[in-house]
Amino acid sequence: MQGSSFRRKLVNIRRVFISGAHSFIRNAWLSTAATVVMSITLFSILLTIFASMTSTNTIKSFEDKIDVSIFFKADVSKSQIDKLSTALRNNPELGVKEVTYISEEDAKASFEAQNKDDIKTLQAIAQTDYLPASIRVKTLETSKLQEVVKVTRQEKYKAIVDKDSYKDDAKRTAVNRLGSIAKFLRNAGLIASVIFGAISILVILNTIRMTIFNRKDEIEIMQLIGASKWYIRGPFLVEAGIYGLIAGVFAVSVFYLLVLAQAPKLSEFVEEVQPTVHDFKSMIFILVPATIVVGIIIGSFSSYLAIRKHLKIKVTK
Amino acid sequence: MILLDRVTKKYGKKGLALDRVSLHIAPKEFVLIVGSSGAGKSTLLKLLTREEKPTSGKIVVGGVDYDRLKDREVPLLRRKIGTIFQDFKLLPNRTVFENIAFALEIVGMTNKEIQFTVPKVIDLVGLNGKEHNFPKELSGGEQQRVAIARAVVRQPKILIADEPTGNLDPKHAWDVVSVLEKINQHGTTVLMTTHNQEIVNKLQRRVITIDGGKVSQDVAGRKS
Repeated sequence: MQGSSFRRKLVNIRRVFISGAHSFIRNAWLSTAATVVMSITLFSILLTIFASMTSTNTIKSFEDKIDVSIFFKADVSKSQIDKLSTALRNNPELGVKEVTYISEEDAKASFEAQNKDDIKTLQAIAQTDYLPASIRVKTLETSKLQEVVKVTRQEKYKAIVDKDSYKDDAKRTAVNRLGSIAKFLRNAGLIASVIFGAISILVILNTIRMTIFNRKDEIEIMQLIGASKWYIRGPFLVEAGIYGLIAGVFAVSVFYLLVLAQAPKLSEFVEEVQPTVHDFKSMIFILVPATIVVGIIIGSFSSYLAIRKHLKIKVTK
Repeated sequence: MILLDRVTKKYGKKGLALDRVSLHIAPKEFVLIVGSSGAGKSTLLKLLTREEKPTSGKIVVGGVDYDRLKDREVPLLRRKIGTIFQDFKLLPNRTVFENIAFALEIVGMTNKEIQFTVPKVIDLVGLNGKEHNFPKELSGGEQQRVAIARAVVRQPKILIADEPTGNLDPKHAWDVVSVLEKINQHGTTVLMTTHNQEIVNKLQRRVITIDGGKVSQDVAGRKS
């Protein structure tokens, strides 16, 4: 008896899937319209993720370039510099990401390389005794650079530290502004992505709501014949799932083809597109099934919400 | 089989569709309900299929007291009653075979049972060769016969038919009535509304006349 009931359930599930697939084919125009809208929306979501990642990478590379240099006096030994570097690194409040030591020789070589075409400057530097050794400090948050110089300006380091690049007020303002712009852009990007994602889901929900509204008579007929809610709802969920499946495959395929084809051109304008493209390429085996699954889930869930209203047993009092 | 006790149905404050209607229909009866348009015939049938609730009064169909019927039990009730709708109510994206099979699918019949039963009913209503047509490819009479086939395929104990001959020419109207008589002979209680006086006269069954929402006449037929 239990086996027979289980078999009936399986038969019903199979029927629901077949019926959903038939509806998809037989309502060709509605299906095409809904699938196209879903494809465009999913594609837009992918594009938003891509733009958001590119902007994050841009901000990151921007922040990577913001650092502070601490210059040492002439007679300071390497071990004294290392001691300060270690102290900075070990201070958890500073969040030091990187400390790079630049010796007097490195500084001179770098300076010469930078000014190799400027003979006058090269002659001047040749007459100079030395260029100071320094350390370049990068922090996880640009706002912490100020804290770094507070440490290096302490009394106990006055004997070894000559000056730092943070002294320049204009630069300090610029660094602080860059930091706050980066923070704003990151937050704005996140909010924009969330808003756009919500709008996309609303567009899909509305499209599916319209397709179901067009077929509300069918739902009423099924109810009058005595079909259960799930037997009516099932094929609609399957049908919307098929929209999502096809839209997901279509959107992700077009997106990858477009991104791969256009990436070199785009990187001429925005350098940071390349790492994003690389990220997307490495995520292909996750992103393709994820887009398809998201399409199926959004489609079926929208259908579930849209059909709920029509499934209420309407008994006029 | 069907019991209505002082059933009243009002639409808003002024629209009185049925006024304290009391009826008893015995099992295996074939009852015709007649009356002019707007008399309350369709409302009466809608109350029986639970498309509408009465404003007051009691309805019991096949032992089910509608006062105690919960919304989630409505589909189960409707599976016990075969209904032929005035406007056919066929599923437009399903073929003739699929429309009829749908009534069996929802009660959990296997494909084998469906493949065995549906052709017999198609034969009964004379739609052989039209199994794979969609409703839009059929004439009004053919669509009506599909609706009849769907209503009778589950061999319900009660069959409710709302103007089943309304859209048909006299020849097809008689074909439909013959099918309903056949079904009645197999033990199904049939309740049919009609405008067609010729059918009423020829059938010689019990006739209930509704006028202005009230039962004005209830005449037993010779064949009843």
